[in-house]
Amino acid sequence: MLSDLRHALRSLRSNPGFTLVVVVTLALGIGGNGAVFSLINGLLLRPPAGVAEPERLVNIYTSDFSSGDFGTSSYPDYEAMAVELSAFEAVAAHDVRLLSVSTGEQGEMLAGELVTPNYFATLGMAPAAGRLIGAEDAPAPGGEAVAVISHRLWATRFGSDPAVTGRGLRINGREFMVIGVAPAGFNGMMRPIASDVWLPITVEPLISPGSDDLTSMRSRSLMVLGRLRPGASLAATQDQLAALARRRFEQFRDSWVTVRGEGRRLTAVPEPESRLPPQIGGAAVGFAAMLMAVVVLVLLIACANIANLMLARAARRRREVAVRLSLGASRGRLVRGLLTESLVLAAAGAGAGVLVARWLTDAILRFRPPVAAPIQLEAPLDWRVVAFLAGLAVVAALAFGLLPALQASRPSVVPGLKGELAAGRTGRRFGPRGLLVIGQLAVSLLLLVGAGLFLRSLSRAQAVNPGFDAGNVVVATLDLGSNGYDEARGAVFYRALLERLRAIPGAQGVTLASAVPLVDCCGRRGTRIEGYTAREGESTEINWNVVAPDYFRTMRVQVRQGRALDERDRAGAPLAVMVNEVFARRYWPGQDPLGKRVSITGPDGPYREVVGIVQDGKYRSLGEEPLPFLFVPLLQNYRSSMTMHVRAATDPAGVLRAVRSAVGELDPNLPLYNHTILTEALAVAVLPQRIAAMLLAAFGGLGVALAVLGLYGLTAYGVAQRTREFGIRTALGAEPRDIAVMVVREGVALAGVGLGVGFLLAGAVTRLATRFLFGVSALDPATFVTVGVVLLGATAVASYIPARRATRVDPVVALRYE
Amino acid sequence: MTAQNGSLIKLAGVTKVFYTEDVETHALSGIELEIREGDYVAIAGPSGCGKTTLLSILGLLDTPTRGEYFLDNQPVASLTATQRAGVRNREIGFIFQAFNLIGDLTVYENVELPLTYRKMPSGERKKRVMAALEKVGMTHRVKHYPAQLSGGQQQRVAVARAVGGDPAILLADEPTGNLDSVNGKAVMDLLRALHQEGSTICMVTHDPRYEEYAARSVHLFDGKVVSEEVGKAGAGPAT
Repeated sequence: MLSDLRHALRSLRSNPGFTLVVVVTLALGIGGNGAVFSLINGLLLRPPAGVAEPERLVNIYTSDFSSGDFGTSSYPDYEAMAVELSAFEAVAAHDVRLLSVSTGEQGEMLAGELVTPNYFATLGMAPAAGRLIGAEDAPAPGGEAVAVISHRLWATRFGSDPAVTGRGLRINGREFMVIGVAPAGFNGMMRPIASDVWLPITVEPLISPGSDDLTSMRSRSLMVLGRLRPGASLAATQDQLAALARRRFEQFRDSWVTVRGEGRRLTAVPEPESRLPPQIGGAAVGFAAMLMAVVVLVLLIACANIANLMLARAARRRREVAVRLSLGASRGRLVRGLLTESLVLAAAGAGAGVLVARWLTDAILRFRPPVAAPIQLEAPLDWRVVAFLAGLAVVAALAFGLLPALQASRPSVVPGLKGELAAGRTGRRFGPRGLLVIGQLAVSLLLLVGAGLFLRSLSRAQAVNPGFDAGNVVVATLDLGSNGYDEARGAVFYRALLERLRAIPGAQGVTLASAVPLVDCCGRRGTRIEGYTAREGESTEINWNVVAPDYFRTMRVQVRQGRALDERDRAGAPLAVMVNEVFARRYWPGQDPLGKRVSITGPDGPYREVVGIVQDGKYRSLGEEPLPFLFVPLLQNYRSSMTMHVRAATDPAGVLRAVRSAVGELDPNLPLYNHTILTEALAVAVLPQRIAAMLLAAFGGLGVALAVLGLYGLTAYGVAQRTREFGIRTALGAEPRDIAVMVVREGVALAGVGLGVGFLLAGAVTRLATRFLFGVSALDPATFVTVGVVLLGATAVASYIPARRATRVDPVVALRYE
Repeated sequence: MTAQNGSLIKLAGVTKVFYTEDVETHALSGIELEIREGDYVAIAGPSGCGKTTLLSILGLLDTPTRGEYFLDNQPVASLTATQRAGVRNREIGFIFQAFNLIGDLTVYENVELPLTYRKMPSGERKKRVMAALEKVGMTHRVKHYPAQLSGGQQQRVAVARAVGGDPAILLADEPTGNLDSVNGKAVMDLLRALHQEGSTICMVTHDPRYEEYAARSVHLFDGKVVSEEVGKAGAGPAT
């Protein structure tokens, strides 16, 4: 074995060009796989850091009123679970929030969690410094509130000071005392959101004055997790959950009910299966699988390329192999030696692939999606990634090395020793090398079609009219509650703020809204609609937005009927609401919607009167069917968190700076977040298409480059092998053009077969991506034809270069008989 | 192409020099040669005397360094590569020592190949191919590949390919060099029959037995014509 290794190293060293090409090709193929797998590992596979026995943890979901099984829970529900679910050793809860956190300087909006006192104990976690939150941390009236900070915050804000405990931290305008530091790498239990602060849930009234989150069963924002008793089965847990759900429904029929009039359900999902919220988990896993498939295909193309090189090399080494066979080497021994070379190449490729993977993941992690929540993607190079890459290297070595090794070791001693080519037909078109190129081109076409479909999706999505004009609109969000404002102070602040914003030079329209369509949209309310009786099982939860006066003019949303919400719709005035056209058509068909009434606070009202109808728009996604929508005036429905919308005449960036100054002048401690130009923020609406198009185009381009290189190599090798044939043809009267046309035609014919197979493959596979496409069919003819033409052109060029060389064959030299 | 017994090929002072780095090799020096229509000329001489170089020049595969070459009284020096290909295709038929059939083409396709370069209609091609194969007795192997034939059979197919286009002259380079004596003699008999039917043949050989098949022998030594024998037309060894 050692001698095989020595020989392999010597052989590869003596062919530095070949070795370099193979290692670089493998590094690209394996590196792409390493990068995507690292991300998948960081997002889905890696257990949470610092958590003991994570396999015994489960997340417990309460079904939503109308949106499926994986909803959040109320605090009273959590208390019932903690007491009544005996299959669990402990049940804890946490509530992820955006919090304004400051250590003296300007506040910063960070993700934080309000946690039950047993949260860290349930996770089985030990602190990196100080201690973690426990039962003793429920704040007594007037007592000091405490906080645990993340290892990251400890490093960035406190310089990893060992004496951090006892230091102060201002959160949402209140003083907290740091009591400890969470273990390194622990970001909370809500990937991909990275939490930096943990507070006892009992501080809720301090940071959100007036909140009823700890008492109301209608306020559902808690994630519940439980630790199973040793030996407890998930099935038994489900029985207990079902029984508890039935009891809750019997006790609380009003709040424990779904849109179908049935009781809510409780569902336990093991922690490894719910590392991403189940609502997005399916799509994320699908997307990750698609990316993984893409990079595996690229590696496959790379392996085919290398196999082609190895086959060419095997043909050149026939004399060496023949000598070894004549000296008594068995075929198995020869195959082992040749495979050792492949393994050495794969190991070197994997080593370089790690560097490529690190570079790629760094580039991907630098990308910040334009979303409100602090997203923390991690791609650690842990044992899973290393094991994956090692396994991949072995599989790749077999994929590109086995066939050439078997070919090279075929026992044909005499012709080999005489340096003759094997007698008979060369079978050059569809031999093993031709089949590899056909496979490469087919897979390349699949990748390019995928990239084309996503590019077309992106283009279609960007062309959709969202029902408002985002151009030159600046947005910035503030949360008065995070700085201790109550409703009275908040209302005064908003009035002063709007006045200042209107005074900004170049501000053409100024307003506030609780949600930004297509970016951070929207609240939903179970709505009672006067004069409309919902059908059995029909949801009347309606998306809504709370808006200040001038919203529709600022956003250039047309009022179709009635009037826009304005200063008249203030506290104490008759309650007003606006609906969109879909709402009016769906719930009051053939009737005048103006003057009709709706309630968003239950059947007992109060009811709000429809004062105007606005045009339909896109609210949650560009691909959504038209949704009924409600607009409620801020002056009659106070919200502590609002987003400023300012339309700039010319210079949105300058106006954005002025907006920040205006807020700073009113309250220098009030942090702003999501401050951006709306057109940039809207990029999130096409983010999946953009990411998919970007990655598929990059990997597809790489795949095509490798495949075209493969075809070039095959054609060039074929031309070199057929020198004598070209000499014969020239002697028989072939013109240079005849030779060139023949070589190109053969290359294009091979490509044609590859493309044909690729079309069939793409037709079957692209359907799987239908859910990620927008406004374009998975079998879009324009994409298929364009990609086919581009690839055919590329292959024609790849064939033409060696074809030109073929025309320069000197027949005298070619026909010289040795 | 030419008047009966007119001059088909005329070489005047043809010299060929090969340059490799600092070495200058004179492969041919001042060759004077005339071949008339219907001639059967053998070019003989020891290995390395310039026979194959001469044949390459005659076949327009190579160009002389100095001197003039007239084919059918027309100088060929000024022909473009495309024109030379056309002349090779229509006027010259090659027979090689190593047969040089194309392994991926059937017997039929190999014989048809020069005719396809001539852009001949397929019906006409078929007639000519079958007639040529008939001449060499290989019609029963039209669908075979070269690897499925013996050496003698391969050379007969090569002869059919050479005569299929009805060229003005057949250039044969050691046509028996890769054959045993029985097959070698069969091929030589075939060439003699073709000559008797009117073909002009110029054959390179170093085997005195086969030299006797030609009506005229030109002997080369160190790139020069050193002697010429005439008058053995159609003799050859006893059959």
